[in-house]
Amino acid sequence: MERSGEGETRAPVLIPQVAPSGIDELAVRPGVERPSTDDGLEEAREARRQPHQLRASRSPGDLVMRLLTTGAAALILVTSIGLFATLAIQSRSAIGQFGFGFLTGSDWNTTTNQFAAFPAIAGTLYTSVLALLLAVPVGLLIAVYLSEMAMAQVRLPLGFLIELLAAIPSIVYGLWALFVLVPLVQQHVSPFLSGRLGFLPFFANASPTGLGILSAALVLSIMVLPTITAISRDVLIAVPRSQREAMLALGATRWETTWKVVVPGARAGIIGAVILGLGRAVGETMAVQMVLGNSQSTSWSVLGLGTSIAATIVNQFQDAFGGLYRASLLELALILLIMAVCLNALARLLVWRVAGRSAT
Amino acid sequence: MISDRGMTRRILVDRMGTALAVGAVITALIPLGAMTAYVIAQGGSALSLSFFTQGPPAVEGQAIGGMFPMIVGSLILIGLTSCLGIPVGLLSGIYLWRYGAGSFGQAVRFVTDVIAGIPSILAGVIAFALVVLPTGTYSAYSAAIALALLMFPTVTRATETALGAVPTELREAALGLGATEWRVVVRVVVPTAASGIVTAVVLGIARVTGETAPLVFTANGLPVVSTNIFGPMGALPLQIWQDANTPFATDHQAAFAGALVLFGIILALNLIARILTYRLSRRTRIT
Repeated sequence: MERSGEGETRAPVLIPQVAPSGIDELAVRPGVERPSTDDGLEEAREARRQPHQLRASRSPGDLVMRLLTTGAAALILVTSIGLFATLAIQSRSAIGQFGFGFLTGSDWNTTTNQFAAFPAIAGTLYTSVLALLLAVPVGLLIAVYLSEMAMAQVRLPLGFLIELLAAIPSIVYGLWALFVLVPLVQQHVSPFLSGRLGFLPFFANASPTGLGILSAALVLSIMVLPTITAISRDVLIAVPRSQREAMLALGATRWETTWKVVVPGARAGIIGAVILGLGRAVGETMAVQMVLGNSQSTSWSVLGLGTSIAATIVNQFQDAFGGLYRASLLELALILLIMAVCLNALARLLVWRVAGRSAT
Repeated sequence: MISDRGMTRRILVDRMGTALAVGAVITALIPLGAMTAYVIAQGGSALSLSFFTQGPPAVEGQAIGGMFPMIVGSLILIGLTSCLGIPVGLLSGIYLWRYGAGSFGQAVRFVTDVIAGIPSILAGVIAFALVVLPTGTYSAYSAAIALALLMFPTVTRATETALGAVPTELREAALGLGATEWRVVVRVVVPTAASGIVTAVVLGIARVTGETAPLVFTANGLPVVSTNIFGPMGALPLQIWQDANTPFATDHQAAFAGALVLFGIILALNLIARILTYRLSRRTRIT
């Protein structure tokens, strides 16, 4: 193989376009005997000398490979349907018993066997949206910095750092939040907010422990930041260079170029990144469970205790021996699954539209 | 024409914007740096050789103890998960790369991405409903099923990307020499993309190593070494969580030591993946 060209170009992602019939054609076409030093091709050359074996180009091996790989792909689709089916079937008694009232009611009582999901759903959305309000501006600015401003020497290590942060297990975030963030909220943030702004419903009735909505939102915002940053950066980089150059040639500053051309051009992908961050926040379990306080109640106060769907499941599932109790928890899981799937599907479509299918 | 004053203002806004972006980077690095430093400081002081060789203390709160049974359990769980998740991930990755241009392939790609985003707790709930309930006991293999569900999307998409990076010329040359399709894949494409495929596997393992939520009602935890995959089993992340929830300071120290170990494993796996990716990009470069 001939090698030429410069070293810095990234290897292109090539999607194979050759149809199997075309390959058979290629295989039987007589060609010039070419010397090769590649050991892997030794057998290929051997096979070419024996035309009869070439008929077996639709060989059992090809068929096996096709069947195996197609089977694995089909398994994925079956699994995805199985997820819904399992939860729907196992929670049917709760669905039948409570109907739509499950979504709107606020009574979660194991002694009277009354279950409703509103506190959990509200707590999930409240903490997640608060976390995004904190994380999105910071994440988007970092993405802008990485794609538009940073030098390569800064961009690569910072990019790796962000990927690494996304990989840190949520139990580690939760542990840190429980022993550092919660005391910080308890001793400084909570007294300040409730003292100065306690007349607002958002800061009334502070919990004395520091556990609660605000602590959960803070740790969530740190956890979703890498997701939002990494994907926003990918979609910003995908905006064609020529658009920036045109804007700069017209005399725009870099800041104007970024906000009038690059960010609007990547808008769909950035919205996708935000939704993906929301998807991650909504399903986050351990870190939230550790700092949220786990109280089946609903309040506007960010300093009060709360619960979330995932936290409720992880707290109570082991002890749920009653049929209706367990079915109610499984219905909570089904609601969480539907939320997560909708958010992820929407986000993927938006990100794919901007950055192509290979974007992570 | 642009007036001088307007120009000055615009340059000022540009400078302030740049400062704002740098400020955002610093704002993000403060909590992340603080967390890393705290885990290293707390975990480091509690970490000793006995942490890796002993079990939890006989009487809770008496000593920091070790997590040997949980480390063994985590290794077994990851091994089991890999047996389930990696074949599915690799094969479906090959499918998407080779046959995945049509609408079925597109659907698989989409579903894989969506499954990659489902909350990990749900994988545990599913495994509980499908395995733990019918068998009536917590088990390591139910945990492995839950973790495999979280592992395969990472492997699938990373495999597809790695194979896609192999130059078409290589395949065409092999096919032109008369090799059958599967031989080209097995002998030419996969070896060329080997480091990328190993990356896919490493990333898949990194994805599940720290998962806690799916283990709570599948593996459930056990304070002693067990190799019975049909019974409950301890795991490092699970023990961290349980230790954090006790009132004992020694348990909290053990939790931080465990978190530091987990942190180190994740860092190592990601560094390996990064180095392998770099090697793949050098090997498959059409240059």
